Amino acid sequence: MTFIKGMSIIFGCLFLGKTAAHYIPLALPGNIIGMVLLFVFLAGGIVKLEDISDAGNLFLDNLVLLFVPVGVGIIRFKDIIASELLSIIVVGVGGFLILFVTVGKMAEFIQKWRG
Amino acid sequence: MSLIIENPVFGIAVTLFTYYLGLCLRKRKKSLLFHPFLISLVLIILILELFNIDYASYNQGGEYITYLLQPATVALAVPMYRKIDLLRKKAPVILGTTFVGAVWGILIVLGLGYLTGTGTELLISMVPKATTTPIAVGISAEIGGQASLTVGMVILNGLLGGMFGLKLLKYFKITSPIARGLSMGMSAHGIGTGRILEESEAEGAVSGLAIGLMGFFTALTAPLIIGFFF
Repeated sequence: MTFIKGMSIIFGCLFLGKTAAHYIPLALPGNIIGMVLLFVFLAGGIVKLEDISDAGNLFLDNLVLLFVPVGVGIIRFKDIIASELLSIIVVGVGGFLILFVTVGKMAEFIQKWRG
Repeated sequence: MSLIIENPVFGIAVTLFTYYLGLCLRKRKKSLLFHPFLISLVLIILILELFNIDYASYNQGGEYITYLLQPATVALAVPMYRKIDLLRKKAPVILGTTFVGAVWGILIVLGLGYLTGTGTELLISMVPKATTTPIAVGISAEIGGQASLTVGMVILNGLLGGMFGLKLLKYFKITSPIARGLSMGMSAHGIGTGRILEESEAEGAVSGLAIGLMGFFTALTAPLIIGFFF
């Protein structure tokens, strides 16, 4: 019963998010708008955490499983990966390193500045 | 044979079964490379190659599982809400860093891509690579990327963060717990968060919060930045 209630809330937010995505002039995916809506409903006390924890946990505990099929799809891009391996390494590893270090330094800077 | 393969049940069953095998293997050997995702991925690719099965046949079932990424993204609001007090208390540094970091992260990818002459399709697919997978897949579709390439790059970020993140924090002397959590969550999403949670609950909480905010701000700004450059 709580589980179905939670599922209804999650899919309800998804539906609202997808609908809103059609009307707002931003290229924001409907599922992300749905996430923001659920957050707002929780923060505003409209949705109670205990109502959606069971349903939410089903998705969150098994999140990794859900992107296996998209991941397998990488076999369709063997040619791109082979011909652009250098780019993948530079942008992939280099981009990670730069972001990781600068973001931490930036946060420490803001903390010093804002106290 | 083709009757069985050309049916959604094949993709669903093979995905669940290989992932379950991956979970069993991880119980025996705890290592990031023995991740159930990687095990499942490699096994499915081997099966498809071995039996000469098209991705399209597999994906007849796979797409049902993929669809569940949609409600799963909505559910990401739950862990964010659980940390709402932390967000309220440290709003300037957390919101400031995640917003600027999201824009900065996109620009880093575009800049390095430009320097290496990366093809447009691959480059666009790499733009959301610092965000969590369900959000990255949504952004990728919105800006014209290939979701599969995006997922590959997202996993690479996660693995790098999981394997080297703590060493990097030490080497670059990033010591504030909030900064450490933000670095991890904003660059290595769930995999990095899992790793830093083993070290410190407080840093893990910041990291977990950073996942959702990084995803949201990247989703908000990526289409605008891409529209400007392409």
